[in-house]
Amino acid sequence: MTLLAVRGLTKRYGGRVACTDVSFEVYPGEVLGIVGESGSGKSTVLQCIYLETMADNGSITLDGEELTTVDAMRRRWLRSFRMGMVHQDAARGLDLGVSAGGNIAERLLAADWRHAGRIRARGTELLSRVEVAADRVDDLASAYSGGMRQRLQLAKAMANEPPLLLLDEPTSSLDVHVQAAILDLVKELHAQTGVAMVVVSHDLGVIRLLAQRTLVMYRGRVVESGITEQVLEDPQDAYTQLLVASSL
Amino acid sequence: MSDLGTSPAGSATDTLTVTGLHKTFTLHLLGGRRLPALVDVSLSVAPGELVAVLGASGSGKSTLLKCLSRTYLPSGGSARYRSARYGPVDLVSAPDQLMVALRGGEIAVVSQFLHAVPRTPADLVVAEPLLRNGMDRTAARDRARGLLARLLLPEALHDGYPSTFSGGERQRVNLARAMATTPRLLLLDEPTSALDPVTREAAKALIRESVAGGAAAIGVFHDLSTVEELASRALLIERGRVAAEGKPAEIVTVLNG
Repeated sequence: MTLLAVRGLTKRYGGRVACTDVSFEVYPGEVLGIVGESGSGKSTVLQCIYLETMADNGSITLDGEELTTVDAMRRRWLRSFRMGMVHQDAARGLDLGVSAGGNIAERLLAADWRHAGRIRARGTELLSRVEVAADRVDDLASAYSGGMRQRLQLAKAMANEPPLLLLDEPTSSLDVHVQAAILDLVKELHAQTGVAMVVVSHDLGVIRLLAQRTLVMYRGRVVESGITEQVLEDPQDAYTQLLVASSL
Repeated sequence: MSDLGTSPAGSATDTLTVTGLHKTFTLHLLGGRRLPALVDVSLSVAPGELVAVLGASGSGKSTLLKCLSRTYLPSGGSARYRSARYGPVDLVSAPDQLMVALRGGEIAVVSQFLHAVPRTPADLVVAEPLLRNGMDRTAARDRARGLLARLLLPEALHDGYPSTFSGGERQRVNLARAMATTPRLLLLDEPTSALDPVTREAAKALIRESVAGGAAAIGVFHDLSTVEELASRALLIERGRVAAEGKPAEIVTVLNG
């Protein structure tokens, strides 16, 4: 019943180790949090899963399929149908020079949607699910505010209903009230679709709100994992105790 | 008479059998200081039974409940729970994802303080575990509102945000949420401490009904009259150990003496 299994994942950039011997599972429909400070390796883990960067060592399986050895064509298919990603920096997840509808159409075309009218209707439907008004479908993504870009990324990531959604600091660069609205939307999408999520954040509040289980990363390693409430109320590792004691 | 020392070994029909549970906190920020909170706790709870845990503040009552819900990670011992869905489960060593599943339905935790989820209306907070278990939205919301009404939460607050509620209002939301899934094991940590006498009676009635329906419960209560009314047995905890066990009235006498 494991959806995603990461085993012994290691990634170096030159001489610098980004993450070492990272192992965990994600079960269908659950939200797993990964918390840690910048440089802890948590974003690298997501990038390896999404095949944006290749792991040096270890294995990543999604529904039993080994991801670390797939070719470019299969990778494209996996990213369209099996997993979606929401980046902290929307420019990495969107084509800002293309309309909102166009960004979503790209995913639908990958899924062999060919009828322009149907693509448009589906794009509008997906955008309405993330609370973007229909009259903004033709606006360029570059004309969208930070919060709207994150909504657009969510719509794009969910276009073909993948079973796994990866969220990399999805609200970190947003104003507080926009942050709240996006987090509510993520919760709502999870409740409605049951999509499994891996949420990476340095913010314990985001993790507390979204994740049932949490991993704590420090200097490239997983130093602790547990039920989110336990990690926050009875942290075991020295670093986690410092992190929890330091949070507002 | 109170049975000093350890409690009797649990029987095969008990919902929960705790044996030699201990918990030591290691405070890394204080140079690795070790704080023993539970030294050796054994107890058992049968279906239809509420066991009250008494003791001075700091004796380990809340720690015991939090270890059983895995809000705290126990240091050792075992806590055999008979799950309806998963069979026998040791709550001390069960995988995290199994604990998440149990806490979402069979095991209900009512803590002293509700960590209010921001921007979620009260009826949805209560309905959430039902929705996760697949109940449809209308039925879940109806059941949630029914529970909130039984706990005398004014209807005008049913779609209000608990983060803006008083302590007593939050506590009722918390209790309604715990009862929503008809749990088999109730872990109650001062579930009525912030309630006025009238709403406290409503809360007690709900707890009594759940236990009469076959739930097993362990409760910490700040007022001793609630203990004598609800509990069938009581334990006295002192410095992380079970110091006495017996009828509620007997243990209350030991505590006051």
